[in-house]
Amino acid sequence: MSAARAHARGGAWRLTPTRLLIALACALAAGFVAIPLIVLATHTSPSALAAALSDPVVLDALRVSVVTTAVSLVAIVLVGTPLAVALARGRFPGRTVLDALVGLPLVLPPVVAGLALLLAFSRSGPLGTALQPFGIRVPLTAAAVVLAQCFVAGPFYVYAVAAGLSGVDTSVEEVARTLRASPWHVFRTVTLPLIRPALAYGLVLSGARALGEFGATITVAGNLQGRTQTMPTAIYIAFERDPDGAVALAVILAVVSFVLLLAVRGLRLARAAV
Amino acid sequence: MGLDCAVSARTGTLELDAALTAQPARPVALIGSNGAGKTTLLRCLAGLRSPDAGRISVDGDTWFDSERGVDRPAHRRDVGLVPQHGVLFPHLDVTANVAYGLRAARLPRDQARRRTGDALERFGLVALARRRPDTLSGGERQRVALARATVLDPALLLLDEPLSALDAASRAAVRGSLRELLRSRQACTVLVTHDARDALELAADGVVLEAGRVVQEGSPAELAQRPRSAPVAGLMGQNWLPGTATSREGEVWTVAAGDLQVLAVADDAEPPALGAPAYVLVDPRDVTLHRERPEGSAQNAVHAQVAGVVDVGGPLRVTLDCRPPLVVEITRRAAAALEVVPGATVWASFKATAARAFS
Repeated sequence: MSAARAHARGGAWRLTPTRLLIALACALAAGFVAIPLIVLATHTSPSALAAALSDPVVLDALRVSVVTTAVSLVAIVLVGTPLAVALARGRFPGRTVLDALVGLPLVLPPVVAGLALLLAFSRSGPLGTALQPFGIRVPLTAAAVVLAQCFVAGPFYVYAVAAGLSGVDTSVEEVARTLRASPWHVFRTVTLPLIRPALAYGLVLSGARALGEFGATITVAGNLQGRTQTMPTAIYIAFERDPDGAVALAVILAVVSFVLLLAVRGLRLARAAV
Repeated sequence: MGLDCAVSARTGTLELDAALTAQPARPVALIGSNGAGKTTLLRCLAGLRSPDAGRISVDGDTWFDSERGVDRPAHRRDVGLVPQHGVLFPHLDVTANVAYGLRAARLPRDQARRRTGDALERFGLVALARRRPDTLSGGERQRVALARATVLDPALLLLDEPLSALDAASRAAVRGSLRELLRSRQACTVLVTHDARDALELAADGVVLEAGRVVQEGSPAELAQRPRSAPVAGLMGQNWLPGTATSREGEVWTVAAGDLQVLAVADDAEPPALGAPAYVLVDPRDVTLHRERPEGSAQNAVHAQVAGVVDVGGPLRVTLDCRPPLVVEITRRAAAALEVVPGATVWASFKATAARAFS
């Protein structure tokens, strides 16, 4: 980018100490992420991948992961969007406390989150007791997987959207209100389009986090094949018995995540180009 | 009929407590310096802010009444707003910006399309129809904002400093479209401005706001000719020279104002009294500038340095560094010929008959 700009100005690109530092940091970060993943990929083979992809245990785990992540994302969007509006725009007592509370799962070890959820939803826990009359039992079900994912991944979405909302010029929304637009219409036709990049960013971050969720999931949902066993828990279990199979699974998960990230990036670029 | 409003509202250090009426087809200029409460009053009218108390009604329709607990939200008021700096929807093109209100009001599609087309044509925006706001000039953006606010033909049109964000050239052009628009409107218009020329050219009535209170009302021409206080005179671009009436020779009075001995004729209604405080009012357009000391009888001549030159489109406003300061309006050509630049020394002169002394 800076090189291109220098060329556009007609100046020659020179290596300054600042640029050297930036280049080194970029190389270090790229290598830090890419090298272990490349090593991971070299430890598997096409035949091992093919074997893994035809293994019913793997297919079950993949299905559980994708379905629970999708459900979690829907729940996160439905609850997280109004929550982000309240955090970014609201003026109410306890806003700061709520803000800190929303961010708590970010700093909590996932195992602790899982333990807390397990105790709250257990037969003797307050939420578990409340749900018992309806015959709903959460621990060790797919619902527990979703809960764990929402708990851990939700804050990424809420914070990203709240930051996007804070950046919107409220006078634009005010003009819309004077043009016969109800608050809901303003939100739909002005606010949402303006925070679309923040929404996409929040969705990617929390989706990726939900897809990779492990600690909280295994604590509150367990590891039942076809029901609560997700890709990360399947990888962990496989690693103890069959390290080669675990590597194949890990590669599959890494590829799925990377493709998802690229897809959203591409979507944003395509929209920006319109 | 028309707008009838009396509200009070407190924001920060400002205590707004003002009454305002507007007749259909007679645009009202709300004139005041920064922080006088003009924009707060406008926001109360638009429904973007609730007054603490008072009443707002338009054409007999009550929009706000603190006693009856009425406070209609902005989107249910038949209002149009052109905010300062236009504030277009950045994600919509010019056509969609103009059509926004029609869509929000759920007008039938063919009707909305026709009215959008009319508005684009009226404000000279047809060629820009598919452009995004960030590719438009300041003047173009302001015309889009005008088209967007008027496409629904609101009962009350609110304009907040519609020309202040523009450079001198586009200012003149937008003022032209605005004047045409206001001439053709049959409904109420309130125009916030701190520029006397906008008020004089665009409005039929004027209300001067100072520190949240209405200090004077009248047609803009009246406000310019008979300001009743220094702030009003200043806002209307007039020279207001406070002093003492020291002598009289026939028709011509001498008023000692600061460092100046001003020769002036007495006002018919409120003539000055000898030895008493008096004010002299001088229209900046009646003052001329010269390189050499001007000749002639009953002339006021002031030798002073140029403190500043302001370009608001049209004639230049030159402020002279004397006590009290004197403002002069001269044409660009005259300014260039006389080399009027800050720091230059010039002679300013005006006839005694162009200066009016009040008690």
